[in-house]
Amino acid sequence: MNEHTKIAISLVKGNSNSGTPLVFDIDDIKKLRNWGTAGILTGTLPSAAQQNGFLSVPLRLMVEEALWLVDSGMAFFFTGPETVTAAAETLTAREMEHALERQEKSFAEQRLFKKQQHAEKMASLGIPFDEEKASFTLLESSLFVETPSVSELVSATIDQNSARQEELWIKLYNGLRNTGDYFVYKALKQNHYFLSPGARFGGRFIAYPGDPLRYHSHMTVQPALDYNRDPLDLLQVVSGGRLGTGVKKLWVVAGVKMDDEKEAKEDVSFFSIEWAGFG
Amino acid sequence: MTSETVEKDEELSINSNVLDSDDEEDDLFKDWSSIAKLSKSQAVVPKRGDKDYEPDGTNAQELLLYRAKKAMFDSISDAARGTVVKNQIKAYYVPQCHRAFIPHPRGNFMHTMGKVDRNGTCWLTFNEFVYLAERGTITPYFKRSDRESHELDPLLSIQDLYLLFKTAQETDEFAVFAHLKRLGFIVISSQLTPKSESADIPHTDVKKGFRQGLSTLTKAIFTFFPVPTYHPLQYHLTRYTTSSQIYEALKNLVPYYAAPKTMHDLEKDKYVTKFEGDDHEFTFDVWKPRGTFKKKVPGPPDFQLLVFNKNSSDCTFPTYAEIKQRFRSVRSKYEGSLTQAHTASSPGSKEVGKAVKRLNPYIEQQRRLKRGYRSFILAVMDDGLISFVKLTESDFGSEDVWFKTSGKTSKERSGPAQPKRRNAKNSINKQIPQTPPTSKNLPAET
Amino acid sequence: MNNSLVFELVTSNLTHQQLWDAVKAHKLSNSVNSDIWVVNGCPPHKLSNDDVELTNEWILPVELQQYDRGSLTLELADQIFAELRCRRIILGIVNDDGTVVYYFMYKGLHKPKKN
Repeated sequence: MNEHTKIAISLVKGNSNSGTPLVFDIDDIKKLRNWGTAGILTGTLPSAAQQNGFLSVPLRLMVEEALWLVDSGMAFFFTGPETVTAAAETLTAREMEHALERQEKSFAEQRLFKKQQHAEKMASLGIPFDEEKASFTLLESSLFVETPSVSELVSATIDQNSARQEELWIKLYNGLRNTGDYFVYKALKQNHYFLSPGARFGGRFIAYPGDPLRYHSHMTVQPALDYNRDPLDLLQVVSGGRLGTGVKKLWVVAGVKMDDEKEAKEDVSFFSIEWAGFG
Repeated sequence: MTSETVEKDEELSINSNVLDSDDEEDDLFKDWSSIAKLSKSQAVVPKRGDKDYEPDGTNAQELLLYRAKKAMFDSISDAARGTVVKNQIKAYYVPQCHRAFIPHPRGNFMHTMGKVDRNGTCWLTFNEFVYLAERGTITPYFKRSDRESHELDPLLSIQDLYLLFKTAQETDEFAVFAHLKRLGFIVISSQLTPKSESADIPHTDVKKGFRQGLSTLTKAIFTFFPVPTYHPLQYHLTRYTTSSQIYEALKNLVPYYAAPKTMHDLEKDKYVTKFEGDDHEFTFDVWKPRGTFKKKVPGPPDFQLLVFNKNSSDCTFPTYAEIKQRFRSVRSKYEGSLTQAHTASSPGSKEVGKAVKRLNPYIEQQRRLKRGYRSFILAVMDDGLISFVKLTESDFGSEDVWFKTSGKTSKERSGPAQPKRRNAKNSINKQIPQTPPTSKNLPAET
Repeated sequence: MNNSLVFELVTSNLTHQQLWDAVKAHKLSNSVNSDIWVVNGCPPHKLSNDDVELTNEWILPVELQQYDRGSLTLELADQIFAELRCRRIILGIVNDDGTVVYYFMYKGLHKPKKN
């Protein structure tokens, strides 16, 4: 895969204000991680389907994250469900037969591989291998049918038209409960933090100094405040500050100049709060 | 890992177990090194690795990070999704009804999922369809509208399935659905749960129901919000000899909400959804895993659950009025405290047996306050991370928490009607209960 | 913002309960339309293991009211930092029962203590 190709973010939106941004390609997920975006894996891991601690694709991104990736030219949005239904309905008979042929080809490879393995095993046991005797039905029933993660149907219809991208971007941005959070996210990314959703620790984001696989988080970041108008909620300072001390994170408030132009909004004021250790 | 906090502040010491940061954090972002070593077929129980404070630029750290990432990605890539030909079950998505059907259904999942029609075709809801495809149980196809035979219908990928979700809310609901299914719970959309077995609820036509609703409503206003009557003289005419008498008298001035707590009151207060698409419906009905479960006669669910996205402007946190209405619509098994007086009429209740053994009334009161009455679960979606929050109706107004009731006077109070207490001369109990979220807007009575 | 009613309480709390030295209240000069007082003093020991040495600290007394979020905006916090020219201030939050709790407030993003 080319380093320069943009990452496809599948955006489930429909008529909702908000959207769910998802990534399905494992190579894309690796790239994102190297760029400092971890996301949350949310799909059932087929090899261990009865647990939640350890999930697989799709990777779910925060909306702020998706907005930032698209804004910085690293990704583009891709939406359904019309794209899927249209692509599936318009496949020609030839194309559908072709898909079956590919399935057959995969089966043929699997057969060859399995026969070879069987022969090797027999040889190691010193039993002469007899192609005729090998159980044909057993072999056939053990062929694997894979359900792919990434769509082949829609890959042809991908539309990176910039007007459409911008329209989606603005709608998604306006669907945020607190649009200031986007600027807080952006400012933290410029400081090279890894970010994850923060409700578990009573905040909007949790900030990590490096990949969350290896590093403890440093901060619980609160939802953006209006820099000029919103007063600091002292009751929250007390409860948040105590909680933060208990879980070894600073409790961070961020002020966004909500009345100003985009550039000024990006100048976010941060304050880090922690219990002083007395009183 | 224990926190290094030296401070023994009360908030900290109470919550140190709950809040221990690293445990919870690492559930999500763990070092996956150990898992990749396991072969594909083995069940995965990942072991978490240690973490560092911050990147220090050393090669040793880089190597550890590289290994952790490799292990994580290997285990995702290695887990092939699908099934062998012998076990393959094909399911076909029908865009017109946003459901999928299985022409030749078989498999254990049919005990708890899908609905079989007269022709023996099993119909799956979209959530069930995606969930089963994702774990490899079924192979998803797209049903072309122009052809009868299924032979050439295109195979769908997991990405296609997610793109077919209609709204963001639907993906949140699916995430909660799949989370609970993976844990083994039985989950059915509350809209689709068969409700016929609730025969104990008197069936009335809509008109009558409406009138009845009105009368219960007016009655409820009077019973549950006793209007305080105050006349300054009443405090001059009485002689107060104990502090509890003073508290009793003051209490009559404070209005409060009394939760229904007898079977009879509960039935009367119940709001029965009358039509499909009723706003008061929950998202999911949830049952604990059990072998005897029957899709057609599921019985009352163990939990009812509402999905709420905290970051989207599509959702707002339920208001006090909405929460109260939700309590009225709860159909799940009653887990709250029941008042003894009326329990005899409900032989099905487990509480009857327990209530026979009378405990210290003070302890019983503490239990009632802690356990509360009707409840439901709010599944809060935070960009892929789900928190389950149980909301329980509580009733501090009906409890006298300022003195310990002695054994003999502990007549249960089911409403504002006051049994008189004479021998309650114990000193004031200093326990001021923490007000739970549901009663936040109610006037405090202590 | 106006904290003229609570700064004396914080001053005496620091002096007599927390045993700080040289505790003195000052009125901020550049606060427009407001009556903001800050307290300066020296704690009896280092407040954080990460501190290099014992230094004088600035305390901003604020009143905690259950149904009023107060009026300390982040803009105002920036102005206070600008006038005091320090890396942190300590919020002295006064409860309605007369108790005071203290919180560090750092300008910008700050790291938690190591271990």
